[in-house]
Order: sequence, then C-alpha cells, then structure tokens
Amino acid sequence: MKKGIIIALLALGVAQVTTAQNRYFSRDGHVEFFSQTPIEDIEAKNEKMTAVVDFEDGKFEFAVLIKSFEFEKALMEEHFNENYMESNKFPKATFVGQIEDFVGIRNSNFPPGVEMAAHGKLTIHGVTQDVILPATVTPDGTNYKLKSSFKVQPSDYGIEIPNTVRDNIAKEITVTVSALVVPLKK
Amino acid sequence: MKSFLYLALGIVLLSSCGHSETADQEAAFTLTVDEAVNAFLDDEAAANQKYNDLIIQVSGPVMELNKENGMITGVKLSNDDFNIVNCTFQNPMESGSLEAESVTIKGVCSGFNGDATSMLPGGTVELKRATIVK
Repeated sequence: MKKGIIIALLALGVAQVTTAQNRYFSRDGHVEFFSQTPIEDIEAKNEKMTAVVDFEDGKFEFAVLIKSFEFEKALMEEHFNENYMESNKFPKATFVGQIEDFVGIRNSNFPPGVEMAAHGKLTIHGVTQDVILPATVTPDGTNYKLKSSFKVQPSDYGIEIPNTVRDNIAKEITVTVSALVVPLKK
Repeated sequence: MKSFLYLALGIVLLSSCGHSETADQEAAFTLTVDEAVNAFLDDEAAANQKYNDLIIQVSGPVMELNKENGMITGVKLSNDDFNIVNCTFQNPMESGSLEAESVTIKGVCSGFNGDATSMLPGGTVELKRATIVK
C-alpha cells in the first residue's frame, strides 16, 4: 500500500515536471499600441507582458498591467489611466485561449510564414470578448519568438472617449504583442 | 486677452511635459524584494491601494538583466525565480555597467501581474521609470 502511494506520488511529480517542461514563457514581453488620426498620433509601450504557451496542446495566454504602459507625455499617461482605462478599477488586460492546429504546426517545426490563429477571450477594461488573434511562432535556438498584431475598438470594451477628444483617438487601435519565450523550469 | 494667452501657453506646456526624473524624488516606501511581493500575494487590493503610482524603493538579488539593442533596459530582482520585482529603467544603462549581485532600486509601482489561475506560476511586482539607488 505504502509502495503504491509512493509510486503514485512519483508519477504525479513526473507529470508536473513534464507539464512545466512543455511550457514556454516570458515575463518581459513587449506590447505597444498605436492610434493614428489626422490630429495626433498616440503610442504607448509596455515591456513587462507575461506570456505562456503550452507546447503540448497550444494553450496560450498573456497578461499586462495597464499602469505599466509608458507614454512619452506624463499628462497623456495620466488621462489614459484615469479617464479611459480606469486602471485602478481594471488593472489588467488579459488573453486566454488556444492556438488552432498548434500540434501539427509544432510537429512541422513552425514553417516560416505560417500564421496561426489563437481563439480565446480578450479582457480589457473589465469587458471580455471572444476574439481570434493572428500569431506567428519562430524558433530561436532553444527558445521561440511569438508575435501577434491585431486591432481593438475601444467601444467594444466599454471605453468611453469624451466628445472633446473623439477626433484625437482612432476608432480602431493597432496592438502589437511580441515575446521571446523560454522553457519554464519548475 | 493677455491672461488668456498665458493660460493657453500653460496648457500647451503642461500637455507636452515628459515625466519627472525618479532619481530626484524621495521613495514613499522602502522594502526588500520579498516584502514587496508578499504584500501583493497577501492582499493584492490593499497593496494596490498602498503602493500603486508611488515611488517605492526595493532591495534584493539580481535575477536577470533586461537588455535591448545592447543596452540594459531593466532588471528583475528575486530570491526564488517565480516571485519577482521587475523594473524598467527610466534611462537605459550601458551594457556592463550593472554587475552587482544585489541592488537597491526605486521606481513607480504599477501593481502586481500574477494570477493563481494562470499557467505561469508566481507573480511580478512591476516598477516603471526605475533608477538604481546603489
């Protein structure tokens, strides 16, 4: 009986290590967004995105703190957090999903130029939407480079833009996400 | 008319201002890396309320340097690889200029990026516009 329990515990331990070894992650992924209008261009960057991909099944998630976005102008950063994103109330933006046909593409060693589709839930400003994000994975030694670029409409996430600055902010904002993910050793 | 022009000029100047230098400002709180992370792990809402948007000073072992285009753009402090203080420098540093095993850093606290439901264990206290104290 005792031997059985030890074997079961060892098996569980091996399973956990295997799970962790199949995951690749980053804690300093890059996210930037860009809004372009005839009046002004607005851009901000965040270098602390966390991202994880499970290479066993293609589960993919990333998360950013809204307050970690940095703008060139202090007042713009303050307005972004206080007036639009309400970052005290909604501190994070997250994506949780699954890359379609990940195993097949992984087994082909991620052929160059193959764009994958990550189906999942994107949560911004406390509003969650089902989305499909394009993504590419490129081998880089023992690591992998992830990249995704997609458009977000503030109105889809309950972000209200006052009339006075409506013409300053694009209806669709381009978001670019990239990360070098490395094996997760637990 | 003259006062209106001064007001307009003031608004234009204010809206084009960058961020003040963190190095010139006093930290509101001084913590070790473990104290910073544990504050958020114990009660994230209370820690957000207490530390976010303030300059906090954190000391701890260097886990990894963040590099871009040959410059050091930030540093991660940690005792255990999973519970981390991740700092982005206000002014990137020359490669090779940060070789200490342990440092003290101050920066503006953005909060805690971690979630028990995530596939990624642990969590990260994030500081932006950080600068080395010693």
